[in-house]
This record gives sequence, C-alpha cells and structure tokens, in this order.
Amino acid sequence: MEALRIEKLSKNFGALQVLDNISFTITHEERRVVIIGPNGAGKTTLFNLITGELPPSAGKVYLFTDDVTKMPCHRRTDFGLSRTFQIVDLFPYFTVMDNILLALQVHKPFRYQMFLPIDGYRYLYEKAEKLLKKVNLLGKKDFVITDLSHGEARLIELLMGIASEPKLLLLDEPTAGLTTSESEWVANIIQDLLKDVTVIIIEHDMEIAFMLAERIIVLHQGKIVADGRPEMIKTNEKVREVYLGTEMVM
Amino acid sequence: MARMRITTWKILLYVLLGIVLVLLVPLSPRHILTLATSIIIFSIYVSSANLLTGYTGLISLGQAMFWGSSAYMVAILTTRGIVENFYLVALMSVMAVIVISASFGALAVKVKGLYFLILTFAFGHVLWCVAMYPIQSITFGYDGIKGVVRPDLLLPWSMKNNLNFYYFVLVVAAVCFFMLHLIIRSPFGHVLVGIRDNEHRMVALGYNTFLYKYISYILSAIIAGVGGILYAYFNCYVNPSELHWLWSGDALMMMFIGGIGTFWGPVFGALVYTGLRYWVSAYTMYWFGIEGIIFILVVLFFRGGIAGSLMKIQKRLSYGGVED
Repeated sequence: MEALRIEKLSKNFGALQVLDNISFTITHEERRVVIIGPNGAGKTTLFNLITGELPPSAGKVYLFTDDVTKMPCHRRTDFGLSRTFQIVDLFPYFTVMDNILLALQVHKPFRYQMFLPIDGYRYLYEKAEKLLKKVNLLGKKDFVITDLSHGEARLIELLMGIASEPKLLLLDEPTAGLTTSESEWVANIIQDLLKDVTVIIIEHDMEIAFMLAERIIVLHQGKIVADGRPEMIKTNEKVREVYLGTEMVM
Repeated sequence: MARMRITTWKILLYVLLGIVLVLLVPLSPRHILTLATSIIIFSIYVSSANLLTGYTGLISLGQAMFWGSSAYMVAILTTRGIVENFYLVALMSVMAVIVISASFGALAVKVKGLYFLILTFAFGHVLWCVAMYPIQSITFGYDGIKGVVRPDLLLPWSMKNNLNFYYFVLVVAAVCFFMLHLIIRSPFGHVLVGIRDNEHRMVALGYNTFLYKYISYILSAIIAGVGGILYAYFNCYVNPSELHWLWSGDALMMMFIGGIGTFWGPVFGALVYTGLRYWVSAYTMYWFGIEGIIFILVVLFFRGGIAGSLMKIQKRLSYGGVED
C-alpha cells in the first residue's frame, strides 16, 4: 500500500521556484527513504508541503491514498503523519516529561478534557518514561528543555516525532549540529526505534544518509535528479555532477 | 509546568488566606468589607484575562467587553423588571456573553499577536460606542443605569446585608477559582500553555490550535461575565466605563503587577492595585501617575510580578540555595 504519493507538486515563493513539478510514491513497506540535496534544493519545503504547513502552488499530496492537498496540518496528523524539525523546536520552558506528554496526548480523545488533572493519566507518564529510557534520558525527565545539551534536545525532538506512534514519520536533519559520534549514535537509535514505521529523512551528512537509507531521493534546484537504491545513487552521473566540488563520501 | 509539590508552606498559606477571608475581613470596619468585596470581584475578572493572556498567550484589550455586557444585562433586565429571578438573570447574562464571545472570537482568534490585540480593542470599542449612543434609550448612554438592587437568592440570607453579599461573592469566586484550577491542570490546560509557548509546534504535532484558543477565549469571557454580574449587583449601578477599553487595560495592568501566567497573580494584582488606588487616592488625585510608575517598576524590575517574585523566594527557601 502506498504511504505517500506526491503528484506534480510545485511551490514557488514569488519568482523563486523552490519545487518544480515533483512526483514520487513511497509505499508503506519501505522503511527509510532519505532525501539528500545541496542547500536550497527544496527539501524542507517539500516536508512543509507534505505536512500542510505550506500550501502548494500546484500539484497534489496523497497520504495513504487520500487526497490531503487542501487539508489543514492538524487533520493530516490523524492519518498517522508526524514530523521533527531541523532546528530544535520544543517547548523551552516545559520539562522534558511535559514535552513528551504533549506529543503523547495529541490523538487521545481526552485532549479537550478540562476538569480532571493530567497527572491522572498514569499510563501516559509510563509511556513517556519508556520512551525516555530508550534514549537514556530518563534521568533528565524533570529537567527544563533549556537546561539540556544540544544533543539531548535533538533526541527529545526525535521522541516528539515518535511519541504519537506515527505510520509515516518525517525527520528533518535529525543529526544537525551533532558531532560525528553523536550523529552515529542518533542514526543507530533511528534504526532501532523505527522498525515498523515508514521514515523519510532529510540528511546532510552523506555517511549517515548512506548508512540509513534503503532508498535515496536526490533533489536539486527543486527537481528530482535521481531516485533509487543507495548503490545506484552512488554511481549516478547526474548526482556526481550536482555534488561536484562538495564533499560526498562515495 | 512541573507538577505541584504540596508543601507545608502552601497548606499554611491557604489556611491563613481562609482565616483572613472568612473570619478577619467580616470583622473589620465596613469600608474594608466593601473594599474586600470589590477586590474579590476584580480578582475574578483579572483571572479570566489571565486564562486568555497568561495561559493561552493571547493578549487582549477586549476583556471589558464581557465584563461590561453582562453587567449591562443584569442592569437592564432587573431595573426594567423584565426578569426578577436572580438565577435566570445570571443565566441570561452568561448566555449573552457566550453569544458575544463566540461571534467575535471566531474572527479574532483567527489572527495572532498585535492583530489580535487590535481586533479585540476594536470590538470592545464598537460595543462601548453602541452602549453610549445608538441604544441610549436602553442604556442611558453616559449616565449609565442606576437603581440595580441586590439579588434575592431565594435563600434565608438577604443580600442587602453587605456581609451576606460579601460571603456570596466569596463563594462565587471560590467556584470560579476552583474551575480555573481544574482547567489549568487538565490536559486541555496543558495544551493551552503549549500553544502559548510554541504554537507552531503544537500545529505540527496535530493540535487544532484554533479550536483550543477559541474555547479559551469563550471560557475567559464567561468568567469575566460572572465578574461583571457580581459587580453590577455590588455597585448597584452600571455605566459605559465598564465596557471601555481602559478597563481592559486595567486587567492587563493588574495581571502584570500580580504575575502573568501564575494562578494567584491576578489576586495579588487586584489586591495591590485596588488597595493602593483606595489608599493613594485619599491623599492625592494623581493616582493615575502613581499607577503608571508602579507599572513601569514592575515591568522593569519584577518581570514575574508579585507571584513570580514570591515563587522565586519559595524556591530558594525550599532548596536552601542548593540545586535539586
């Protein structure tokens, strides 16, 4: 079954064409699709169009065969869509636990409930603790986000995406700003935690990209330059051209 | 929003507050009783604004709209003898507030930040103008409506007695604060604070933030409306200044002084603001100037207001200066 279908999608900001007539399909069976491309290729814009944070200029977005092009952001998440951000985008004055709770309760029927304390939902706390344990951050559950290191905040960002148990998860540069060893650690966590989820990852670090990917889509100047298995991408002439002069570990 | 630690300090403070409100105030001279009644009513009003501004992050200059319209509803319904029963008057006033907030809110909550502020200000001003001019025959324009009489609660105690009325206000306030307490600690309240701190992320997580803000707007209007009802009965007189945006500004002012986004901040704000006004205006007519200076001092040096500063002190005491 298809998880995501993009059909002739375009986006322009005034005269600037950011995405130009893009089409691709990702099935539910695919696990990790990595999108790479030089700066300004339109990767994050593509994510914003999929989640509905930006409206497309033309084209259509299908989630699990449903046309969601005109659907607002919050309704698309009902399909099991979730995302994280390139720049850590958390609730800075909340504790780690309260951040995770917000992500956990989003699809629960009691999210509008206003008379019983949130502390009463013990199983949410237990679930949050389980998640935190997986990334070795249980000891910091009562820390305020601003007291975390950048690497720790990145992991919480990742957990926020995972917490709602999505079927399709978009990770926007999950290793941005991390050291090489931290990046590899995060990549391992992604591999371990996300065995049953279709994940689309934007990645700048080629080593991580090739380590994670089952399939790679290469974007350049708003167009898909190549799309295929990592081995194929490595030998692709066009991709080499795009990355000529930039660092690309092949 | 860390879960609250129930400390002996807190219990002690609540007991103290209870003793002051239930026993000490009623024993004090008459003018103190009147002052206390108005402070409690204002606390309800400021708390309503705090739900919207302090907890949801929507800075409004239109809170007086709800306070004023319910006060006018009470005055119009009772002085014209349209409805006699207090409970029916209260219900109809609250309904009016719901209708007004639901219709204005649907437009106002769509926009953010400064635009929200300006829109609420404009709506409030429109309502004030309406009360002043076009429906003068009903509202008596600038003169306001005199002769509102204290309600008959169909209970053995007469509200014409100031002490009884004080206790009545106290009970209503307790109910309002209890409701607010529940709302803030609930999953719904948790989401409101999330929207205040990072709405963009809340949308991405999948929350319908418009609906949350809209409900918060209406809830805050209802609570302000309850304050307005009490005030109309308390003052026995309603005039257009209850609808004026300056009164909305006062809510913000009291909130900042007391501590924005804190539960007890509005109470401190109402207490200090009303208390000082009462005290200072006995000596000088330049109350507004002094009010302005206090406001500037709070914004510059006590960002968290009174409640914020108290919380800092409490933290220092409970941790003994050592990090937990």
